[in-house]
Amino acid sequence: MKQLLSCDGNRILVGLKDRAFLVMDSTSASSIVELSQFPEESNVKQQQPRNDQAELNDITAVALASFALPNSKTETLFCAVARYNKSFAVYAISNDEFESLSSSKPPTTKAPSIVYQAPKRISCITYTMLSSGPELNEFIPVVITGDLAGDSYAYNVLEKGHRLLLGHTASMLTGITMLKHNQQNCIATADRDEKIRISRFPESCLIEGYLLGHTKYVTAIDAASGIAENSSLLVSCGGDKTVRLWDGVKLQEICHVSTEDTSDEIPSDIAINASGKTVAVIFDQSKLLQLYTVKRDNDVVTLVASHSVECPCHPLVITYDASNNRLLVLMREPDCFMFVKICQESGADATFETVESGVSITALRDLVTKESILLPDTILEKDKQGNPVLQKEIETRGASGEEVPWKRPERIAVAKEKQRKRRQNRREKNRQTKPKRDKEEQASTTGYLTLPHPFTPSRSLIQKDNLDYTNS
Amino acid sequence: MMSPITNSKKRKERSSSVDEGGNGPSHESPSNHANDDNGDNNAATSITHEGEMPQKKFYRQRAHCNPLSHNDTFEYPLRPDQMDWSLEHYPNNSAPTVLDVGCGFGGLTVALATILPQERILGMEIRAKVTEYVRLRIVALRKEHPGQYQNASVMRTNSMKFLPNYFAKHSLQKIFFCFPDPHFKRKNHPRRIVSERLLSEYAYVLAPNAKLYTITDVKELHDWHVEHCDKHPLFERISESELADDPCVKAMQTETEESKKVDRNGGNKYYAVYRRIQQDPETAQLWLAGNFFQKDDEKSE
Repeated sequence: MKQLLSCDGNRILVGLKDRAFLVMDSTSASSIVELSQFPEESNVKQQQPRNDQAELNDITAVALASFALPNSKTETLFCAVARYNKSFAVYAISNDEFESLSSSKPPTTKAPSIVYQAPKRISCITYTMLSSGPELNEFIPVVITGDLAGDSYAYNVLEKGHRLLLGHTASMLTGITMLKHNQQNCIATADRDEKIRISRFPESCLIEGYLLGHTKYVTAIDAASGIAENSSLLVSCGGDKTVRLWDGVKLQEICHVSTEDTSDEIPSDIAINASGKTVAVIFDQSKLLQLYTVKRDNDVVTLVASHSVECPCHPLVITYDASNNRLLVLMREPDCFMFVKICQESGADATFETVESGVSITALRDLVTKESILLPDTILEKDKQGNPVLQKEIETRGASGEEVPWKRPERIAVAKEKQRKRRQNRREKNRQTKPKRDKEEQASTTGYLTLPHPFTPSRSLIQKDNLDYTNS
Repeated sequence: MMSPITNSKKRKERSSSVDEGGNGPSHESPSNHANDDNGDNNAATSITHEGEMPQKKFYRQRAHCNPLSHNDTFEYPLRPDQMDWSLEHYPNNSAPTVLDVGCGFGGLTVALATILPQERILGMEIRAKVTEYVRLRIVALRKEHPGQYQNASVMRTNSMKFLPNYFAKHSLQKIFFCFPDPHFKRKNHPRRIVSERLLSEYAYVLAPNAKLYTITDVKELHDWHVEHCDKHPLFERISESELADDPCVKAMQTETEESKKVDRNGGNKYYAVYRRIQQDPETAQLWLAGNFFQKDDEKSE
């Protein structure tokens, strides 16, 4: 699952094939910073990617957030970029650097501050705060990643350090987000085995609950960020072509809707707005962007398909920008970006309109065309037959139905025949050789032969050597 | 995953084709009416008739398998509340409270049914033939001792993946891990049934103050169990003195088939019992954020 787009206010971080670009201000004509792969003074050999090896540097996930560090008044921007070759780089842009980068002429690059080597390929990233310091009243940012082994790690952005948070056994994590459950900070992790696990953070060994309901792999999840204190909403879409709305407090499904009425394709990404009233879904290899409204009607909540937007190119990733109340869509070239503004009139349905992007977005588009960056066809990895890799194979191994081994009575006859033959052979052997008396005695007293355990040497063997080794 | 065809090195006989998997065969399970003579249908087609004690030699299967394989399909319910326990397992539709993970040929499961008559015991096993053996054994015992053994049952499933699908939060009182596969090689350590990741799931399904029992004859595996359970914030070890009057510990040491084999071979058994702690909702800080991160040069598994 590729999380190629992330935004924080007007700043956008996007991963285009194997290059990561940070747009400092999407509304005005500011510069684009390319986040380079290797730190400047590092011992990592800079391999020039050959054409067939270019895949290794492809970006699989990006995330962006700004935090005010303890002992600092201004905010620092943190970017995280994970690549196919399991490398995971964190970039920190402090406020002063921010000013200088915004005004400098393109092309500018920024080197990573920390590069980690993750044990498995990372598929999704999110940021959160961790309380630290001697009295646990300071907050430092951490990056939480989900990888393809089903494990979730927390990485430190200030200095090198990581921790295993949780693991879904024998599964792949397809989505990760932070959620509030009873005023506790929680992580929601979605996997290939149709489960969404809600675990507390930072005590992620404590599982608050599981959101179970999907009948096939979950492709994406999103949590509503601006909801009232005593409620929280999570929305998910999956390979069973449904969109489900979950209650984060009761940890139950509120409602679900099948997307098959609007599209035959699998929903690949989902976004929910801050108030939890509008849900946007995009589909795999389809130009449709479908919007759903959450309708509340005397305690009965339903998801109703409201608007469809036809995108000029195939949309790949969708994300919600809370500060501007708009949706950002990353599409294939040549248009690449689309902004959809949500206008919510009280009482009426929300209306949507595509807005024009700023000058810097146009500059990014030109860069894409100039350097012929080709975006992938689809976010869901596909195998040679065109089926998503996430789908589990249904295979019948061994016998089944009427042919199971315990339903074949002819085995009784075979077993009897073998036993008879074995007894016959043993009797003949005993007649030829001398009868072994001690073995017979042993068998008669204990009922069966006692064989020595192969791994525990008998005491006599250990204590045998009482030789004096002092005089060699 | 096809198991290799074994040659008969051992004294006991193996059947000629060893296989596992088998996609949800439609077999009858120890249901309430096992005492009826609807076993007539089976008489012509099964090796063991319903109600007859099965012979182990027709149900042997290779002990080691890969539980992480995602190519072995199992049937499992969507949610715990959608699981109907009365269809195949227990007379009244109530969920089990004691779990025997990797029950093998069912020695402990049937022993616990008499020791804990108020609890419902469920044995979980991943191998198809062995599960069928335990099922037939329970049916035979129910027939032989009417009224007893109604609280024991067995299920074929992968407990590493599907535990949350079957059991609701805090619904189990005891979990037993008897002589689990040690998976000696370092690369196979993630397949071990007691591990850092899975202990969180066990803590989720176990009720507060419920117990987790482990026993093994491999010292290295015992040290691994102790190390991981001690490290996990939600489990605390129960001392020997508190275990003195727990009949389950004695049962765990003597009733399983594997423990009897260890006795025959003269090995040692090591056990550890842990309690799932009662969380105090006020003090939610189970870890200190001070040493939250490991330094990168430490090897984490």
